[in-house]
Amino acid sequence: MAALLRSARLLKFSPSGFLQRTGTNRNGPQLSRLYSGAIGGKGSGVCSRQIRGPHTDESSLGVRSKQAQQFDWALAKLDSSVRRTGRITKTLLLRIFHDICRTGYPSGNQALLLLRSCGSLLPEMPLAERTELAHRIWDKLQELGASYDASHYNALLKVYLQNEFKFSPTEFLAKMEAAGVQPNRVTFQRLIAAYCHDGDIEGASTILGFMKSKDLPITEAVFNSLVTGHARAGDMESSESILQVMKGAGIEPGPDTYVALLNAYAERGDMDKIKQTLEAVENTDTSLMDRDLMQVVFSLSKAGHQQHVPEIVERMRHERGYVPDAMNLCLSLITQGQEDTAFTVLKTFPTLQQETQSGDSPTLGNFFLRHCVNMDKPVDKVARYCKELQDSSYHATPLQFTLYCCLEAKKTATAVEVMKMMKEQGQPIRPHYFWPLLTQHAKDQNTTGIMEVLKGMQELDVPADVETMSFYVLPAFPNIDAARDAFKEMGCSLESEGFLSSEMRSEASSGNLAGLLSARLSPTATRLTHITVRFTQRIPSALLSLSLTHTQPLSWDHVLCVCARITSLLSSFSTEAVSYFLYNLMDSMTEAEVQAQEDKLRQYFNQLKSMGIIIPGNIYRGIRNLLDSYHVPELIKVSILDGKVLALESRLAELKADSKPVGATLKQLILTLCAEEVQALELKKQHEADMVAGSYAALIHLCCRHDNVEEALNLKRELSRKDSSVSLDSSKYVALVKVLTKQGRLEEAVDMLKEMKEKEVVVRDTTVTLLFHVLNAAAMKGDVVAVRRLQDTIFTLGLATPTANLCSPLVSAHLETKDLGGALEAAMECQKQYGQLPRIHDVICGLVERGDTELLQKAMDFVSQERGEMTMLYDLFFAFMQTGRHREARKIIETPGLRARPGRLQWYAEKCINGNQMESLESMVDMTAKLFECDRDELYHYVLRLCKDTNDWRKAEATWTKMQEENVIPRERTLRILADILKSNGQEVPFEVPEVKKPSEITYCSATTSKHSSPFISIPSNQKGVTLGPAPYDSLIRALLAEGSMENAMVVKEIAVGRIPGFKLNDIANSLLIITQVKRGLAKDGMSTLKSMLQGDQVPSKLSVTRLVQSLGSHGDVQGIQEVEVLMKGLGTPLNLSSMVFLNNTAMAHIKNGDLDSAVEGLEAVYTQGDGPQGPAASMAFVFRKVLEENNGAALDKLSAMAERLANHFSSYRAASDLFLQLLEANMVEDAKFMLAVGKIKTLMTLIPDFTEKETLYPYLMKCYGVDNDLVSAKALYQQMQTEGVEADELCLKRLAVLYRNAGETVPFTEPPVSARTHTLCSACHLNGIAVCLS
Amino acid sequence: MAGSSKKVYEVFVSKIPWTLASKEMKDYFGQFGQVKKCLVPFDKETGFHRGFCWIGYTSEEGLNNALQKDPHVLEGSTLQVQRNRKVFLGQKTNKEVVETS
Repeated sequence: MAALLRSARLLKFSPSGFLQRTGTNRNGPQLSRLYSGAIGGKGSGVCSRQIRGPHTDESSLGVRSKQAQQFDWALAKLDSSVRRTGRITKTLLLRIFHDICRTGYPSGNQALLLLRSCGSLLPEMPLAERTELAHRIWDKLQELGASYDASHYNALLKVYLQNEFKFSPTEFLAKMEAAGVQPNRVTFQRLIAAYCHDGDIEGASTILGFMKSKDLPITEAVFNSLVTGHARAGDMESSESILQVMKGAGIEPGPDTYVALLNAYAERGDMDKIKQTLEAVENTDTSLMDRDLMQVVFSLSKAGHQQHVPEIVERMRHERGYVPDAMNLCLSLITQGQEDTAFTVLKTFPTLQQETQSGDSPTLGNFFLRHCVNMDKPVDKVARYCKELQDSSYHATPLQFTLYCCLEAKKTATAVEVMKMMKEQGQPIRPHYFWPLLTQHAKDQNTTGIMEVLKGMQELDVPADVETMSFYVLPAFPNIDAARDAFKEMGCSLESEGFLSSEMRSEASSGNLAGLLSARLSPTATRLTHITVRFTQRIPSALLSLSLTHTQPLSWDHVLCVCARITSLLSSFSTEAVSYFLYNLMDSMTEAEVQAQEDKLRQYFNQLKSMGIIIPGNIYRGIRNLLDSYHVPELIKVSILDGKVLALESRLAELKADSKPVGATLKQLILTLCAEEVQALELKKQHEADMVAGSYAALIHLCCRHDNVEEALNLKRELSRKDSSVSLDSSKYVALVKVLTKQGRLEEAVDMLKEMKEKEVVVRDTTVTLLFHVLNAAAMKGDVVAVRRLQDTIFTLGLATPTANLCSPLVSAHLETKDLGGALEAAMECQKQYGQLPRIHDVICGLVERGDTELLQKAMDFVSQERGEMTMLYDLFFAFMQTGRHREARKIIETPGLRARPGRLQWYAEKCINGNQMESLESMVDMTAKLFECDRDELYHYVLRLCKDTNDWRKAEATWTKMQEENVIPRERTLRILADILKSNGQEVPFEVPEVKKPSEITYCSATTSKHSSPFISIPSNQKGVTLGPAPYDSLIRALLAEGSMENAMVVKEIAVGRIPGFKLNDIANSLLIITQVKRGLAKDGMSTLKSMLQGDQVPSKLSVTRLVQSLGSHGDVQGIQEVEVLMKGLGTPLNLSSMVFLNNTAMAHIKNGDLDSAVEGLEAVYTQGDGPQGPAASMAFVFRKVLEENNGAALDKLSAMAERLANHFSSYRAASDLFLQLLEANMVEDAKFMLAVGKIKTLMTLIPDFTEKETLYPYLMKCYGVDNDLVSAKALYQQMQTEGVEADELCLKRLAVLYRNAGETVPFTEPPVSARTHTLCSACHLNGIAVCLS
Repeated sequence: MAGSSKKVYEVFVSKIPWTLASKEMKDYFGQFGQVKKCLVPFDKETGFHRGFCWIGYTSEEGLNNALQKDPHVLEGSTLQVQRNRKVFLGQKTNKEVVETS
C-alpha cells in the first residue's frame, strides 16, 4: 500500500496542473492513438498478466462437460498462478499440456495459451529448454488437430524473442506461407525485433521496406527494436538518433523506447549515460516502473557489469507488485548463471513486517535457496548465501531450508553435503531427515539407492532407527536375509537396535494373529454399553452412503420410504429410538440435501405424525436446532408435535367466514372503473354503505394519479372514520406523498411519511423505487429544499436504507440548477451522513469542464479521504475521459501502483457502447494496456461489441491485430463475436472459429435419427465443401455410445479414421465403449478396450471401471477383477475407486463360482484388518443386495453369520448395518426385526458367566423389564442386585418405581427426582446394540 | 441434545516444523505429564510428515498442563496446541457416553 500512497500523493497536485493545460492539447496525441497498442512491445511481465482461461465450451454436451470442467479448472489455475506471481511452474504447465492432449482436440485458444506460456513466464527454466518445450507443444497440438493462424505464429515469435532463440526470419516466413497463413503487422514487427536482436540492421530494413510497401503503420514497437538493433550493431549514435526520428514521425518515445536505450547502455556498462537518460525520462510524460529498471539490471548483469547493479536497484520505488517481479528477476538471473547478482537483488527485498510481528522466525529468500538447489548451484556457494542471510537476520534457518529443498528434490549427494555443514554448526541431524530420500527407492525396491542413502546416514553418524528400517529399508528387500547380506557387504552393523527390532517386527507381523485377536476381545464388555448409540448413528449415514454407491442412484422417494419402514420397525419397540434415528438422519444429511428434499421430508414428517409418533422434547429441540442451522425452520412447524397447524387452519376458516361478498364485487367494479375518475367517485356515492377498504384504496390511488389531492385526502379521512384500524398500503401512501410534494404541500407530505411509519406500513423494494421517483421528480424541478426535507424524513424514520440511488436526487437538484458547489457539498454530506457518494462522476465532470481547480481539489481530497486514493484516481480518470481530456486521463491511469477495477472499467465501457463512443472506448482500452491485473480480453471484447453494433469490420480486424500485438489470449466468445462481424460483412475469417453449434447439431441429428435409420448419413460429407474437424465426429460417437448404439458408433469411427488421419477415440468415448460392451455382456471385450486405453495413456472413467468389474464379478471372473485392480493401481492419476468395488465383486465372483468360503474370507478380512477402507466407503451392501436379489439363501446365511461374527467379536457393525438395511429394502422386515430382537441379555449373561461389569449390565436388564412392564422380574432383579452388592443408580430406581406405580403398588424406596424420559434415549439405544450383538 | 462429553486426554499439535518428529515431540511434551501415545503421521509419497500430531496423556493433568502453557516454542518454531476435537480416523474410541440434556 505504501507504494500506492506515495504515487497518489504526487498526484495530489496534478488535477489543477492538468486543467491549466487543457486548452492546448484537448484530445491527447492523435498520432499515438492511431498507432495505438505499441506500448505493449517488450515488457515481459505486463502482458503476461493478461492471460485468461477461455470460457467453457458452450456446447452443452453432457458427456464431455465433466472433462471440460476439469480443463477449465486447470486453466484457471494457470491464470491464477500468473496473476499471483507473474510466473508459471514447469510442472503446472506440463500437467495442463498433458491434460489438453488427453482430452482430445485442442481449440485454437488453448493452443495459444500453452504457446504463450513457454517464454519469460517460465523464469525457472533454462532458455533452450523453454524453446524446446514450445516446439514440442507446437508439434503435438498440430498432430492432435489444432489449426494455427497468425496469432499462433506471432505467439511463437514472441517466445523465440523472449528465449533469445536463434532462428532464420526468412525461413519462418516461408513456413507460414507454406501453411497458408498470412503474416500481419505484428509478425513483421517481431521479425524486425529478431533481426535487431542480432544487430542485423540490414535484415530489419528489408522487412521495414516491405511493411511500408504494404502500407502497414510503423509503430513505436518497431522504433524500439531499431534502438536495440543499432546499438547491437555497435552504432550508439544511430541508436540514440532514433528518438528524434520518432518525434519527427509524430510518435512520442514511450517507456519501452527508453528501456531499449537503457539496455543498450547497460550492455556497454555505461553508467553515466544511464543516469543521464534516467534524468531525461523524469522530464518527460513517461515514467519508468520498477519492472523497467529490472530489465536494466538484467542487461547489466548479463553483460558482466554487475558492479553497477546496486546503483540501479537503489532507484526502485518498491511499487505494488514489486516483490513478485523482483522474485522473477532473481529466478531468471539464477537460471542464467547470475546468482550473485540475484543475491544482490534479494537483499533489497523489503522485509515483511507481519512476519516479524507474529513472532515467527523470518524466512526471507526461501525461493532463492530452493531455486539454487534445483539449478544445482555449488553447495559451498549456497552455504555462503545461507550464512549471509542468517547473519543479516533475513532468515533464521537457511541451511535447514536448503536441506528441505534438497530432500524435496531428492538430491541425495547435495543433501548429505548440507547435513554435514549443519552438523558442523552443531545442529542435530535426525533419522527422519533421510526418509524423503528413501521413499522413492523403497517404492521402486531400489536397494542400491537405499544403501546409498544408508551410507550417507553412516557418514553422518546417524543410526537408522526402527521406523527407518521397518518402513523404508526392509520392505525394499525381498526378505530379511537379503537385507542382512546387503548390510554386511556395506559394513553396517547388524546389531543395531533399529535393525533388530524391525526384524522382530516383521517376523511378528507374519506370525500369529490369535494373540492380537484375543487382545481385542477383552474389552468387549465395556464396549457393549455404547453399541446401540453407534448402531443408530450408523443407519442414517449408511443409508445415505448407500444411495451413493447404488448402481442406480436411489431416489429420495425410495430413501424416505426405507426410512419410514425403519421408523415403523423401531417404533414398535421404542419411540425414543425413532426420535434418535430421526435426529441422526437429519444430522447426516447435508444442508443442501435437506433443502432440496424439504417437501419429501415434510411428507415423511406428516406420515410420522399420523403414526402417532411423539418426539421427546430434548430431541425435538435438537432436530429443531439442526433444521435451523440448515435454514429450513419451516419444516419443523409442519412436523410432529406442534399443534400450530390446526390453529392456522381454523384461523383461515374464520377469515373466510368473515368475507363480505358485496364489498369484494364493489372493489372490483371500482378498479375497472378507475380509468374514469368521476364515474368511480359517483359509484362510491351510490354504494356508500357497501364500500370496503380496498375500494377506498383504489379510489385514493386514482385521485392521486389525477393530482386530485383534496379528494384523495377526503377519501382517506372517510376511510379512517369508518374503520380506523385499516391502513393503506405503501404504494398509496407514496402516491399521496408524491402528489402533496408536487403541489408544494411539503409539511403534509412529511406527515404522510410519518403516518406510514406509525401505522407500520410494509415497505417493499417497489416502494423504495417509488420513493426515489418522488424525490427525483422534486429534484428535476430543482427543489432542493423539498428533496432534502423528504430525504431526511425517509432516512430518519427508517422507511428506507440510504442507498446511492436514493441519495442521488439531492445532488441532482443542485446539478439541475448548475450549482456545482452545492452539488459537491450535497454529495459530501451524503457521504458523511449515509456513507454514499451519489453522482460524484457527474459532479467531477462538471468541475473539470468548468475548470474549477479549487473545487476539484476539494472534491478529490474528499474522495480520497473517504473512499481511498484508488477510487479518487478512477473518478478523476473517468471525468477526464468523459470530457475528452485523454492526455490527462492517460497520466492518471498510468499512475504506478494503480490496479484494475473491472467493475468500474465495465461501467465506463458500457456507457461508451450505449452512447456509441468508439473513440473514447478505444482510448480507454489503449490506456489500460499496462494497468495491473487488467483483463485485456474483456476490454477488447467491449470494443468488438461496439464494432458489432456499428457493423465496423475494419475496426474489428484491427482490434484483432492489436490483441496479438499485446499477446492477449482471446476467450472463445471474443473470437466468435469477431468471426460474426467478419462473416456478416462477407470477409474471410483468418482463424478457426471455436465450434459450438456444429457438434451439437450433428449430435441432435443422430439422437433423433438413430432409432430409425443410420445416423452417419447425416454427417455432411466433403462434397458440400464442409470439412469437419475431428471434434464433431468425436461428439457423434460419444452420443451414439451414450445411447448404446455400439455398431453405429463403430461405423462412424471408421468414417472418421478414413477422413481424418490419426483419428482415435478419446477417453470419454472409450469409457462409454467399455460400458456399452459390458452392458451387452461382453466383459472380455471391455477388458481389452480398457487395456488399449491404458496403453494409449488414456484415463478411463470411474463408472466404466466399476461396471467392468461388476460384470466380471457376475461372470465369476476372479482373475479378471484382480487384473483390473492391478491395472488401476498402475494409473498415474488415481481414479479414487473404492477398494470395495474390487472386494465386493471378488466376493460376488466367488459366490457365482459357488465358493462361499472364499467370498466370506475376503470380505471378513476387510473388517477385521485395520488398514481396509473406513467409514461409508467400506460398504458391502452391494453383496447383500445381489445375494438377496438372486435369492441365494445359502450365501445369505453365510454372510449373515459373518456379519454377526463381526459385530460380536470385532465390534465392527458395518456389515450388520448393511445387512439390516438391505433386509429392509427387500421388505424382509421380520428378518430385520430379528436382528434387533430384545431380551437376550440373559443369554449374554449365561454366555459370559464371569462378566464383571454388572453395574453396566443390570440397568439394561431393568430397562428391558420396564419396556415389557414386567414388575415381577424387575423386583427379582433388584433383589439380586442388592444381594450381589451392585448399587442401583437413580435411573434404575426410577424405572423400578415407575413399574411399581403402574401396577398400583407403593414404591418401597425413595423415588429419585430424575425424569426417566431424559435417560430413556440413551438406554434404549444401548439395548439395541446388545440385541444386535446377540442376534 | 445428545451432547456427550468425551473422555479425552489428547492434544492435537499443529504447525510442527519438518525437522521435528516423534521422538522430539515425545520428549518435549513429556515435560507436562506421562505421554502414553504420540502419533506423527508421515506422507508415504513425500517422506515428510504432515505438520501435525496427536499426543495422548495418561492423565487429565498432563493434558491440562500442556494446554496451560502458551506459547509452545520448540527449536525456534511456535507449535499450535489444542484440545483434540476430532477422534483420529480409524482409532478405536473409548469414550463414555454421558447424557447431559
